[in-house]
Amino acid sequence: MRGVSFRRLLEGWLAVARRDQGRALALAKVPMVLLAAEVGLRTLPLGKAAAIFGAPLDTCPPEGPGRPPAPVSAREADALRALDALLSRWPERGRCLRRSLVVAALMRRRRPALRVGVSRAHGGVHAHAWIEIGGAAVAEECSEFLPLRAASR
Amino acid sequence: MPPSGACGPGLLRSGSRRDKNERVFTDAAFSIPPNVIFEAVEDETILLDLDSGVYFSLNSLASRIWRLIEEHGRIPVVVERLLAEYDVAPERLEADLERVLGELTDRRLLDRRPLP
Repeated sequence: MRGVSFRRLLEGWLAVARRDQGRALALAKVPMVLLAAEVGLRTLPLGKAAAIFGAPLDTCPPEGPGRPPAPVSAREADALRALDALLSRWPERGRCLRRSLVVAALMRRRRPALRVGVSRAHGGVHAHAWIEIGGAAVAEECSEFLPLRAASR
Repeated sequence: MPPSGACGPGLLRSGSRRDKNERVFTDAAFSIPPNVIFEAVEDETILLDLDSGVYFSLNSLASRIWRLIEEHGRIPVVVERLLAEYDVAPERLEADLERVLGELTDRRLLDRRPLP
């Protein structure tokens, strides 16, 4: 995704605020939670940060094959677009973890869980973090990643 | 999020910080602590230390050792299984195993306990 300038983001938000204050308020949560996620990830172990943001780290083996992405409401999709626009200006390293924590906080009522997985799909090993609801990734396709798991004994 | 802190293919080749006369494994069992999550990716195993956020990569032999540790824990059993699988002298295998286990315990990726 191409980076969107903070000024354009602010102008966009102000335009939304003039039309729909409720939506503008919901969108205003996104940068605040993103900043909190940044602090959380810099100061806490991952498992603890994930739990605080409402998505305990799921380290159980996945049940069955990957499911299609979990559906999101129009308001959630709106927030995700704002989040991705903000993250396009964020350092790339660890961006998925920050995204995951914000998604978790925004969808806390839907009992999200954090997954961390690895893939060899594009040469070399890649790690990724994502949020699952009911075993399905939220608004992204993660089937190429094998979830990391805890020891079985 | 690229893996970092990989000990990768050098895991078995790098030097151990332990005294070479110290026998770390014959009277011990090992377990994977709850702060370490992992998965095999082809012939490698990727580990993530949740406390530090650092990823590690194990080569194929270290991955096999890791799997046997997960399944059995008790080192005498691990040695027996590896000797059955690999055409290697017992002394060489034990030295390699000791190096791997030393590195993994030094990095807190494995917990060691004495055999009951």
